[in-house]
Amino acid sequence: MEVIDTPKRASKVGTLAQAAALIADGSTLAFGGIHSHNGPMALIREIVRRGAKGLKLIANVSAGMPADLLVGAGCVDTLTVCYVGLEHLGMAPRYRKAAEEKRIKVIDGDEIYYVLGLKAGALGLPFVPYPPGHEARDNPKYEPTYKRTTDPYSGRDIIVSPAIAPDVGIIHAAKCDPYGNVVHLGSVVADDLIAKASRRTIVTTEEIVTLESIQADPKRTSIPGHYIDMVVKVPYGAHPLSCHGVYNHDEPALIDYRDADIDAYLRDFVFGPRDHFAYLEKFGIERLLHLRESI
Amino acid sequence: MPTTTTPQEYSIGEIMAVAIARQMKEHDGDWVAVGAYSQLPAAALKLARILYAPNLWWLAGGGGAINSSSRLQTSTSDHRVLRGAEYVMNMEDIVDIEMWRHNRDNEKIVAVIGGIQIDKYGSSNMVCVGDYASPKVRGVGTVGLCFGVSFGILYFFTMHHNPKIFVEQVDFISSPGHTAERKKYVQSLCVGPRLVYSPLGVFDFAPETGTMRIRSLHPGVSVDEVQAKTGFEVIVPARVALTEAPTARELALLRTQVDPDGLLGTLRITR
Repeated sequence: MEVIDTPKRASKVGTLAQAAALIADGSTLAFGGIHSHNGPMALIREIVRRGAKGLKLIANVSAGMPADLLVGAGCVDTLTVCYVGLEHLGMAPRYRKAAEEKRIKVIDGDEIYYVLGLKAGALGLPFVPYPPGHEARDNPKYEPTYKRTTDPYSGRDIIVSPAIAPDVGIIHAAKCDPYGNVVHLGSVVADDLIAKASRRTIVTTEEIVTLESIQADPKRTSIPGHYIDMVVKVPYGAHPLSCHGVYNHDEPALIDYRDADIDAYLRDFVFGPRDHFAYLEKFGIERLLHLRESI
Repeated sequence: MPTTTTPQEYSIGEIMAVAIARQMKEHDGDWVAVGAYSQLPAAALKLARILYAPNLWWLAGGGGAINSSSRLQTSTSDHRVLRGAEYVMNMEDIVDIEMWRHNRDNEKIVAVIGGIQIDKYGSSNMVCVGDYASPKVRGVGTVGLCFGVSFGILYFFTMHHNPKIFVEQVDFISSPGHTAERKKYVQSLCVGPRLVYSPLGVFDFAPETGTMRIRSLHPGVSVDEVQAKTGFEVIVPARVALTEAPTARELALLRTQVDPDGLLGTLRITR
């Protein structure tokens, strides 16, 4: 029988260095996850190693170490805040200090500003109109990126906030196939919206799975691959944060980060290790595997 | 098993969690949200679903778990919270329900929240201490408190009671209390702050002034102590009630089913 030659589907698999190179100085960067969970930490360390400057960082809906580290490393010019803190571990110290010393520009958003801003960014809508009531709170009064306009239907004065369309979105998930079909094994939070709103989206993943395993249960796919531009395999790529469904957050490592001198931390955990595996070796196999307990 | 307990037999966290759980009898069938760093209200809602409000729906913060029945976890967005849940919301789902439900009775959408400052009108601040342009403390940000103008009913919980938290007027209104601007702009279906649970007692808001009033004090707490630790004059009713102690049954369920790891006991709650 004649062999019919068909074109091959292109793999999107890349490296951490290739991924970080997509993030130009001064670009708008969004990252996924929430609190101490599902942050693309290995890629964030790579971005710091490359010496990114002037980033306009869109912190995730409740951001902790990823935002704090990028601010502490001097990569951030403007930070869009919904929540930046370390949840039960207290304030995010470098963010707090940089904001109080006015070394970064803070845009004071909130959940509506962030989530519907990304939605508007994804759809090309010019802005987000607010229902009545938000006049009674202070974000729209103090934060100048909220504006007023006239609702052309009712003639009423309404509050609006801007669409958010990041240049690059970076997320971390348990699994992904070579074509960008993502599988979260826990909360998606706003990772799907980030992928839809960003011009380019990079997924770092614990493992690259076969297309056949995606096809076996397509309902499990949390973000379809056409939104994804690059897939990078990074086992323990969220450490010291958790990767939902794979390992827990490393709370002692988060506390050490919180309490560390930032320059010493960057030396020991970001610039010192020659690559991601050298970073992981600083913690050791036993400790890392222990984080999978009770999954 | 004895049915009454003495203050030696329970922690402040436990009496607060039980008080919130009992209040949820009013919300059987309603939808209640908690946020980050919310082990205390999360424990209360779990206990309420077992004992007082089997039809209550609740959201464990941005992780999105609906009706989590896992053992209590430190982080509400920990993936272990997803175990025993019935649905996992993404952020769009959360905004969809919390922003405004014009087609439903809004009193049924409820939140139990906190703040770095809470003032006598029940306004809550998560953004800054001091002047906004040059803050003494830069806070975490308004996060979900923007829904303070669209939730039907707000409950507050705090893990400390001192004049830094309970202030005359918040430095930034993340969520408005019973203010003139709330009356002017916010739909009347969203009634705003109802009760405040602190380590000293439970407080409501006097209808005539819209300001905080003692509802009950926890055992061993005096009106003078509350006044000394509050940055404004608290309204004292003619009769000051005592917060009812947890029953042995409530404590047993809390300790064996809701929080078998004893996390409530490790919270840094101060009087």
